[in-house]
Amino acid sequence: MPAAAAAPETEEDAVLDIDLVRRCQAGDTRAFDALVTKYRGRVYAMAYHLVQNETEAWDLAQESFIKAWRAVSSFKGDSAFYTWLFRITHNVAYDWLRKKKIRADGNEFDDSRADHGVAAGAETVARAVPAPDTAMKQSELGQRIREAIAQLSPDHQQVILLREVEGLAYEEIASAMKCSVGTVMSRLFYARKKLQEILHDLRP
Amino acid sequence: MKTTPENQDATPPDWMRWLDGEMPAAERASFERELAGDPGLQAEVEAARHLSAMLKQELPAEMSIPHADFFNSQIQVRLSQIEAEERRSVPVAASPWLGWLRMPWLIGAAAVVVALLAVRRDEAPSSESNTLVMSTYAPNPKVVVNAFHSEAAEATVLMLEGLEELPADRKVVGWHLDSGLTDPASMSTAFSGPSGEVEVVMTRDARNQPRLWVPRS
Repeated sequence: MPAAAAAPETEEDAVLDIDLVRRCQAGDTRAFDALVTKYRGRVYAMAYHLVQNETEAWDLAQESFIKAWRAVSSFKGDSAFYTWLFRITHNVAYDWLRKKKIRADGNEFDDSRADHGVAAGAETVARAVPAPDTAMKQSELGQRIREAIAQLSPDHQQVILLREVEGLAYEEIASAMKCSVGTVMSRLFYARKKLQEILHDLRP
Repeated sequence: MKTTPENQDATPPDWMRWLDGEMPAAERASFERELAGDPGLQAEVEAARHLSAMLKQELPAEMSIPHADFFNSQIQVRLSQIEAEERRSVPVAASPWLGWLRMPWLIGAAAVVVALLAVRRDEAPSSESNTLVMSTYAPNPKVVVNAFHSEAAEATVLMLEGLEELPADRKVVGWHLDSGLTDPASMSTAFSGPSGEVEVVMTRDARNQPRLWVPRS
């Protein structure tokens, strides 16, 4: 069976968000604080997966929320608040990646970020508590995957994370990346292909 | 970045749309028949499915953000600053004495001086803090001054980031300043605290260097 796109947030969540957003639009910073608390973990995770640096991810998450506050009056509710927030996070992180790429030497993106590794002490919300030996293997696997993603271009990193981590549909990815659905599919195909090449020894 | 077809529109293989749940129902049955009879296609789909599962497993969609409370408080501080900029309801932000604080000749002065301009909130004070930090200034451009309200300490906390080492003979001094009055004739600014008494006077000496005078010291 094919995998369906990630389930959207519950209706109750969406209603709560709409209420909070309306209060934000009226200038209620406490309502915005509630949205920050609700979504900071997801925004931070997205930034972290892209930049693979705890401090940078923290700053980018901050910047994303500030931009969201500045733009909240323009939020019309055409999409879920988180999708809209995610688009902002995407733009903030994408700008950062592009600037970093411009600063890096050479034409390839993959040589400048492989050394970053994972920030020490990075905390994650564990989905399960694995046995110690399993945890070690998962940690090594996670490191391999992060290094592999770091070798992709910014566009390919984004499309992979939007699809595989956030579970966005092609249309939503196209909206976030301001490109056509065809481009999304193309980038996704090539990003997966490159990851499979890099991680070929992990094939089933 | 390479200018390969990967950045252009292209028709992806059908299996990808099927795997991602993007294939219309009308096409699905036909594709699944094709899949059932093509071991090569099955292997391709299985490899993609395996990669997808690994990514989902190793890259959590949500992470615990470090210093979560500080994260929120920093955003609130910045929102307050944005609000103050937009409303311009507090004239001190654009007043001559704040500009005076930022004059270039102050750069390179005392190694560690932080000027904190705090204004009491007369309107709708929150339960968390009745102080709004309007502006901070550090002569060393590498030092970032952050302020947040600590409920536990019932105080506004200043954090100096980028200050790697504080010389033993230097002190960090902060004042709670409610207002300032500039005297153009003497080119000095007197800052007063909550009691109305002058806490500190900033002026320049004959060599145009900054000088602080603390009347009550």
